[in-house]
Amino acid sequence: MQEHKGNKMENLEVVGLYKEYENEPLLTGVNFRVEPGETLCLLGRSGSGKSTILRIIAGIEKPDAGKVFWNGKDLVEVPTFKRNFGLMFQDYALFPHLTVAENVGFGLKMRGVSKSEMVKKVREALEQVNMSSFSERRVTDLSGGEQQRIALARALAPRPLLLMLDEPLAALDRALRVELQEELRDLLKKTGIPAIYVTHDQEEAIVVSDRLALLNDGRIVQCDQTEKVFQFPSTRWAASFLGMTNFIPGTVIETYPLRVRTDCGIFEAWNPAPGHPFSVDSPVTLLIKPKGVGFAADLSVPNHLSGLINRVQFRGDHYRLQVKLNSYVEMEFSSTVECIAGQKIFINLAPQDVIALKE
Amino acid sequence: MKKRFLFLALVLLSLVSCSPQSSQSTLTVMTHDSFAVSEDVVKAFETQNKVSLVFLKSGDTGTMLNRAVLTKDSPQADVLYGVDNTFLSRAIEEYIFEPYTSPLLVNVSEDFKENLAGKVTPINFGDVCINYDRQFFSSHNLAIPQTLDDLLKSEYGTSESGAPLLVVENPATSSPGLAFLLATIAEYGEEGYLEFWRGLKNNGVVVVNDWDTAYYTNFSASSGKGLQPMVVSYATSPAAEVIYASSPLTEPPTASILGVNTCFRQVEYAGILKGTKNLSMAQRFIDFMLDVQFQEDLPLQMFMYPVNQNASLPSEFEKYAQAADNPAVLDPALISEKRDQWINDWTEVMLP
Amino acid sequence: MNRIDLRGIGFKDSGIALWLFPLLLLLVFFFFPMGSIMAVMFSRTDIIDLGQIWHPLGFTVGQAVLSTILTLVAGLPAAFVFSRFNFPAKGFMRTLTMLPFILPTVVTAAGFNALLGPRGWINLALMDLLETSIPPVTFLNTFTAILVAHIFYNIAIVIRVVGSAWAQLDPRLEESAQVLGASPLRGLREVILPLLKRPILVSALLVFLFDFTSFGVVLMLGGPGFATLEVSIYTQALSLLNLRMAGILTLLQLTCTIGITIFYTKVSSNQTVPLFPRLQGEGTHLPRTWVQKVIVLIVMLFLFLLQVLPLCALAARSISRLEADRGERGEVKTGLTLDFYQELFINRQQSYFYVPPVRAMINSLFYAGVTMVISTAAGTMLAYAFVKKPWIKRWLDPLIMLPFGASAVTLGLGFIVAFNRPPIEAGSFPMLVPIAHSLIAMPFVMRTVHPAISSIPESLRQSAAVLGASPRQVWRHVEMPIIRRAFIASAVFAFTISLGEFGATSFIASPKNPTLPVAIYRYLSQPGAMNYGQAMAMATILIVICGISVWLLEKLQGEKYAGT
Repeated sequence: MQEHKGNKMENLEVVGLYKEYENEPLLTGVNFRVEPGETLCLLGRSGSGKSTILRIIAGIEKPDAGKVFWNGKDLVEVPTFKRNFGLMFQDYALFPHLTVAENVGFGLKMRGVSKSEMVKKVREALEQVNMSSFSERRVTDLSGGEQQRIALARALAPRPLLLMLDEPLAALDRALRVELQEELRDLLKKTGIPAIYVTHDQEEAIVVSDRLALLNDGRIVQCDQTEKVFQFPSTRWAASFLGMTNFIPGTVIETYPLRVRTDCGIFEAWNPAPGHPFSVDSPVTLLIKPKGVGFAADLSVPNHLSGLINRVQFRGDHYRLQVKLNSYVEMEFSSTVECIAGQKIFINLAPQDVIALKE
Repeated sequence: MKKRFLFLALVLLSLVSCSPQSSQSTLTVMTHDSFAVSEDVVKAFETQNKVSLVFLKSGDTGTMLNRAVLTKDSPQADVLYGVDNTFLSRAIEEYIFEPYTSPLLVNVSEDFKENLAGKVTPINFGDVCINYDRQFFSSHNLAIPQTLDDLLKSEYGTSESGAPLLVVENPATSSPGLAFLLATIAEYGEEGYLEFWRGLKNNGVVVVNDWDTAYYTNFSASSGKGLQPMVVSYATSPAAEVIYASSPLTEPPTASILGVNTCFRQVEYAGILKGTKNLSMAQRFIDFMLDVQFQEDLPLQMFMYPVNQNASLPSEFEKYAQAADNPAVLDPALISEKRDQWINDWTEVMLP
Repeated sequence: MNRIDLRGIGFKDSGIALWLFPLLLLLVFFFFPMGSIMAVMFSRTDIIDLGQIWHPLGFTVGQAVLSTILTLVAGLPAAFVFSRFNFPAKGFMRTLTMLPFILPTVVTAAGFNALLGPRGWINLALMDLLETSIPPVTFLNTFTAILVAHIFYNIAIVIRVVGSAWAQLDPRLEESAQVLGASPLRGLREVILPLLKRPILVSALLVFLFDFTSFGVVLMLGGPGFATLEVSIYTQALSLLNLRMAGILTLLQLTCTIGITIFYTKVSSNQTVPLFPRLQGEGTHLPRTWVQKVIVLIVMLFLFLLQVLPLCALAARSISRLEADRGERGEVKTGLTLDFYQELFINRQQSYFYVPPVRAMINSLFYAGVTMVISTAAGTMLAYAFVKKPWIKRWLDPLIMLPFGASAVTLGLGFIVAFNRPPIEAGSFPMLVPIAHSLIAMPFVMRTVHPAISSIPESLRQSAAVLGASPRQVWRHVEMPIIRRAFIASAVFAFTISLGEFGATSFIASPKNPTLPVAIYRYLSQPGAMNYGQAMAMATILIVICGISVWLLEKLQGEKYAGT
């Protein structure tokens, strides 16, 4: 395949991947695209088949059905070693018999790059990950974080057309993870190499990705720009997976504007997919964003709730409030103002803060 | 735990004491692996003499002799049986034998008693001869070769399909192989035998390491159904083919070439080992081996001929077994002196 | 199962009691006889012709190098297939590849003869096909036969040693290399082979050691044109009666093998034991692409042809009658028969030395059982001593390998010289056979049990002790369950080694108590179709018994790394 030239037209498309594992369906029709220069994050629980998708794109495994296209070209006949993709494994898979420099230079050597060129490119790659002084060390002597950087440098050195990272930070401790997330994002932006980043950690996904694809039950349930996914999760599963907790069932009573009757009153809600309108009397679940805490009703927004604070948790830069809305509905909200338990508060929500989810 | 150790120790001890050191006196006979004898013959000697016999089988003749030589300071047996005329002088040189002249030797032909100096007693003999596949020669209308010279003729070299007709054993690893080499030396003399072997080699001959390969793999009339219709074996092998046939045979599929000097007569001897504590019993056993009962038993057990002229042969022997009228003979002292050199010279010519 | 109370014999102290028993075995039953015979050999005045040394030495080294290379070439693909793929009959094929390793050469030679001899099945079929009376394939008494038989014997070592290391290798390393642009072959050369360098070297050295001391294969299959050092020792000592020359050759062979064993133990002891062995089946999968399917198929077909077919040919020979029709020469007719098996039970000549096959079988099984007890006890003690005191391993490890490399002929004569009076007397002392077998089995036991013992972290013993377990209870309830599989596997292995051993046994077994291999050899040394058939029948019985044992070994060991 051609060398990476930063061509803005280059894209990866995955269509209808189906794969069974030990007679259980693992992937049941996965579709997504990776656009030039962007980082797509595949987010899903462990065991949801994220790594398998990467292995299929890399050509290590074959799907039972479905295709992978690069610039519209079907890759089915292209063996792994001719795809010129990069894949960084969760446990790095560094070659224990080679030095740091030899590991980083491995991909270049396979492409028959000249010796002097290789030295230069290895040095560059090691500089990119701030590991220049390590080049002659044995990889078995490195710490986890150092190994991670070397694995990244090794994947980047041959300038792959596409970089795939499989839980690249999972083996590291939290502080290091936070530090490396930022570094990784900057590096991906700087090189302009499109990337697929697999993780189960939503914070990591927020930091690193341009777009987010949520994987559940063997398919992509939502794929959009990262902020949009967090703003408007499309299903109840997506919302809970992203850490959201305030749900309330209701019935549509009016479609435009969308109005929903619930046990806590009538809400004017937001339909994140205007192309698929709700019909009157259909059941719906509302996702209430944990915001809008005040001490009085704000009439500039249509939705109002009131309740008693049950419990207050200090969370560093904000407070987490558990609010009892009526005798059996409790929700969580966050506030920057200090509150005390037993206090009565109001919640004022714009339509965009009340999302109607399909079941 | 301790109990188990004790138990193990007891087992070990009991196994040690199993070794034949019982109250009845024993007579130990060292033999080669091919030694065989009927059960009732052994029993007969044991009851007559109130002694139990222990046979110490010690590998092939060379290994056995080595064993006797290496342990001559504390002999492991009272009697050694099975040393043959190709090894005899070596055995005598090592002074391992106690002289004994059995009264029963009167029944033995003078031919077997030369050069023995009363050290050992001849027991049996057999002729190492070329066996041939009768069916091959009749179906090819080929005359049976009568002399060693005949073997150099082209019709006995290779068949029309290119396979050599004769297989011989390596004299360095096989005793019939050595016996046949000695037959050629007896025929052509020390100066001429290598010339004969060169001729044989040019005419096409297969050399293998041991008798079982030659007989079972290469020989065409054995159950191996090999390619060579002639093999160096024993004159009694045709009889064995009948006795051990897998389906009853009325006549053997093989026969021996019994021309002048085509066979070498192997004589096997028994001797009393120096240092025995059972000298009189050992003498009695030598006498027993020369006596009719043992002598009549040995043909079917070992496919050898008895030396005792009074012993009658079993019917299968009368019918199928053959013995050479003019076997090749060499002086055991000469054999002992030149043996190694002959083998080495032969090896250089045949297996360069 | 025998259990050794390690505390009772001083495990807590210096550990001397642990290595004293194995060392005594080695001193009394190897160094003493070897030393005695060497002393006798060099005290003699036979004529020495140094010119007779170089030819066998050159041939020995040459054929060993060539055999080792070919065994590696044949064994590495098999190791790859066994460690990376699942396929039908995998376990069965693994079992069968192990079988040749323990069979006596008498049986192997008979098997190759039944398959490739002038009237072997292949030649019979070809002659029928080509309508000729001349067998088209010449195999016996060729250099090829030696090489093929050496591969037949030793490919199991490569499959076991390299295969288990390969199975432990993270498959992601191979995948990584491919993603980085290495073709499968390039990845093999740049990543896998360098990582497997040590196990490959270990197996190569072991194979070389076996090939270097090869005797039966060269004598029986190679024929008179070929002589290794061991064959020369045999002819010099037993045929030419030149003991001094035999001594010199023995010394030469021993020097070479000491070098090999020291190198071998050095290389193999640095082999790292993985802390977290990969789970069973991880990294193995069904062959996916057609290339993989073809590779698996070809390798299995090759192994089947090399390892299984000769044994099947032999078994087939034991139930068939080959009769050339008296009228038309060359036409060989076959028919099925069980006569040879029935005849085994009849003492037709009322021979004093007749041994019913059941008796030979019982002898073999008894010796194998005793060998198992002695060698597992000694081997496990050694393994403990080596774990406890690594410096003992450094000098004792090459020594226990020596019985492999020493001349069997010389050692056999040594037994005769050294043990010629009660209580230990060659030929009548029944323990000599299993002790000799134990010397051969002990290093295998040690090598199987040692990794298991050294994998037990000290913290496990300590926490058991804190929980109130006495050292003995720690051993019984903590260590034994962990090493149990390795322990049992090594015991079965010792058992099978004893079953198949022929060389040493032929020197020291008492004539009334032959083992199966010795009994087979007896039948082969008499003329007559019935004798040959009975030898084949008995060989088939031996193959079946060995097969069952190896199958047990496989079952007990699972996919875990094997010894050696």
